[in-house]
Amino acid sequence: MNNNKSHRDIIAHGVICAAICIGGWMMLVQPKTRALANLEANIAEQTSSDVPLTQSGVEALAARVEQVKSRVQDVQQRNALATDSARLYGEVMKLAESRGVLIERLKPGSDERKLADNAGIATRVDITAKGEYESMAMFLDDVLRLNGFMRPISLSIQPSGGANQMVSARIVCEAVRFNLPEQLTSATAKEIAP
Amino acid sequence: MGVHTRRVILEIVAGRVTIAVLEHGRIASAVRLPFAVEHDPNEWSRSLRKLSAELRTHVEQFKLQGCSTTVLYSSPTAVVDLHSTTVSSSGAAAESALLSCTDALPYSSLTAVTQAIVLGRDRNGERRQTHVLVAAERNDVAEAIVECIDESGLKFQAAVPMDALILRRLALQALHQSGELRGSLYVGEHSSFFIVGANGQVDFERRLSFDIHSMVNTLRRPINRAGVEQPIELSQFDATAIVHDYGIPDRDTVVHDPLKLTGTQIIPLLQPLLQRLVVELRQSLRFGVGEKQRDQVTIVLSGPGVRVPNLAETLSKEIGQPVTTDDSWNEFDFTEAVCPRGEMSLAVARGRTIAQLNLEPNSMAQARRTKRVQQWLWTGAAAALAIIAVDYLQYDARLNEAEEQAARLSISAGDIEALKATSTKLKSTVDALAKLESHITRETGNSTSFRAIMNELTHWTPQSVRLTSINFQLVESRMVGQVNGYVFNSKVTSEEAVLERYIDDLRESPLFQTVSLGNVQIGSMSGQDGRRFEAEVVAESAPWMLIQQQLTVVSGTTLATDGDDAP
Repeated sequence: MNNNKSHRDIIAHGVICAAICIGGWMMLVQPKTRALANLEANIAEQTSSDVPLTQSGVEALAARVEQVKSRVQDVQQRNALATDSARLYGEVMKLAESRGVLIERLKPGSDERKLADNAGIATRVDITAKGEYESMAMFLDDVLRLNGFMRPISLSIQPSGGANQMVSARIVCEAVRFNLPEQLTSATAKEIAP
Repeated sequence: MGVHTRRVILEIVAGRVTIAVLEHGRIASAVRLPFAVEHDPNEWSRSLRKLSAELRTHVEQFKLQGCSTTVLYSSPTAVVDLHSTTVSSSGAAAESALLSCTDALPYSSLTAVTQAIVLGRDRNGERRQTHVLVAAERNDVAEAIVECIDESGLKFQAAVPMDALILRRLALQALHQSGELRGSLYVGEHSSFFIVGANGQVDFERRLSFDIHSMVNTLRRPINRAGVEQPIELSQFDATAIVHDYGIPDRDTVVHDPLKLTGTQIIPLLQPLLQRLVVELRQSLRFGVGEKQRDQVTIVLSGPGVRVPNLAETLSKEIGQPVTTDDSWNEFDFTEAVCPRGEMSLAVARGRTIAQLNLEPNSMAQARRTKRVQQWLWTGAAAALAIIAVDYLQYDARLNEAEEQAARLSISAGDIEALKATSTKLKSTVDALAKLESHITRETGNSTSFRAIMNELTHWTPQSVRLTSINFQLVESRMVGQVNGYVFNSKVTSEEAVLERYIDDLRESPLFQTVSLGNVQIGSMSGQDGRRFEAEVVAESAPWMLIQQQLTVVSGTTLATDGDDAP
């Protein structure tokens, strides 16, 4: 009888002790462990999904932005030649003068056509010139290398007679103005600056 | 003086009860009460119950309520034995001793309370033995002791048979002694033992049926005197005084002056006891010690019996061997409740031994075990709670750290979002730029260098070929040209060969994809006969940079007007 009672006592005390310990753990530690687990999961998720914000990454991005802006500005500058016939005229005349070529006829912006895919507008430039063969060759090269998008269409050269092997040439080329997509026009603004 | 600094040792033996109060480990006061007990165990238990009332009076008087009490007792049912076994393991030796003891108990082992304590192992000898002290008591008697203590207002701590402490001391002395064979004869107030040992070895142990109390009891029997009809009976005090003052007197010695008692009257009373003691000692020596060694045995008398005059001499004379006395027992004074060399003093400094030999009732042992387990449980629970608290603090610290990290992340989240937006925008911008670049490449990427073409034509056109016109037209992204001219006979080759070679040379040029000769007909230029030809060429398209590398210096033109002289 006594044995049973003492066993019951021990079991009761054991249960009470276990209950106190478990209850204490559940009240104190478990909420903390849950909160910590949730927080750590959030942090892990956030850190894994985020772009690593490193100094080198930001610098690389800024450099790329600068490249884009620079290229867009370059394209805009070269587009300007096609839109400004007076400037084109002046540039051609300046080249002819520097190469010793006589411009007999110059039609800047005589005709326009749309490029495929609405990529831009090409402005026809028709030049008739006279000069030495070598000078004419360099002049033709210079014209096609103007600071714009120049595209050769046709060339016709005939001897013009006279001394110094003069030739008469007619060159038709196109000054192309490319349409800048909207993203690029805004890219020139400060929007993409990090 | 607090209750916890005081302890009580209660001695319950035949004829008396002694209450000794210990303060700081020393006996501070003691009181002795007469206690008449019976030999019947049940009666003995009943006597204890009666004793509790008297004890309570003294407990209240000395304000000993609640003091821990150790009971040293001698009961009819207490069994104390020194068990010797060759088993070397202490645990196994103790179990063996307990088994042997319970088998020999005069009552059922189920109703017994037993304890065993290993005293030690022989240090020498061929068959070294482990010596275990075993004590046993009937459970109901043990319960009666506890009841008595509790009802008297004291707090029961332990109950140990007095004989157990005495035998323990003797056995340890024998185990630790070195040198010649020695027989220790302990004559106590209520029990006596004889142990023979040598060189750290206990040869045998025997309980003797002789003690001072039995001497006193013998003297209290009716004594007949010559010429006096009425026999006289000595009081307990007188008998005790005669034993301690005269011991075994000469026949003429007056041992009690008022009654004119001499040794002649009391020696016949003591004679049977002494005779039995001598017989027991002789038998012990005969069967316990070898014949050759028997004469070498030195018998040392110790215990309260040392204070019994002529006892040692009588024994020496009867046994025929010298019997010396342990003079340290000369301090024993039977009149004092507690004297320095009294048996009760054995219990003062033997707390551990008493705890090991504690014959507490089974229910109390069970309750004690239960309480101990409960204490362990609560200690474990406290430790677990402490760990939980530490865990809580650690988690709290980690949580704070994580919250700080999360806060830092949320602060940088804005920057990251902005960066992501910029990155997305940049990607769309780059895509748009790539599309624009593809348009630019398609429209102006590969171009024809008229300078290079003119240069190349000049280079490959021989003197016998005069070109009259060069025309190029962009046809389906290819620059197709038509070269017209005249070929004349040279000094060494014909017109056909010159023209053929000329066309082959142009075909070799990397600036032309294809060169094909068209119409050729007879003609004249500036009055010189020759052949007029037309050639179609398709210029290579190449990036400007590549074209520039192919350029050579134009050394002169080969274009000729119709009016020019032939070369």
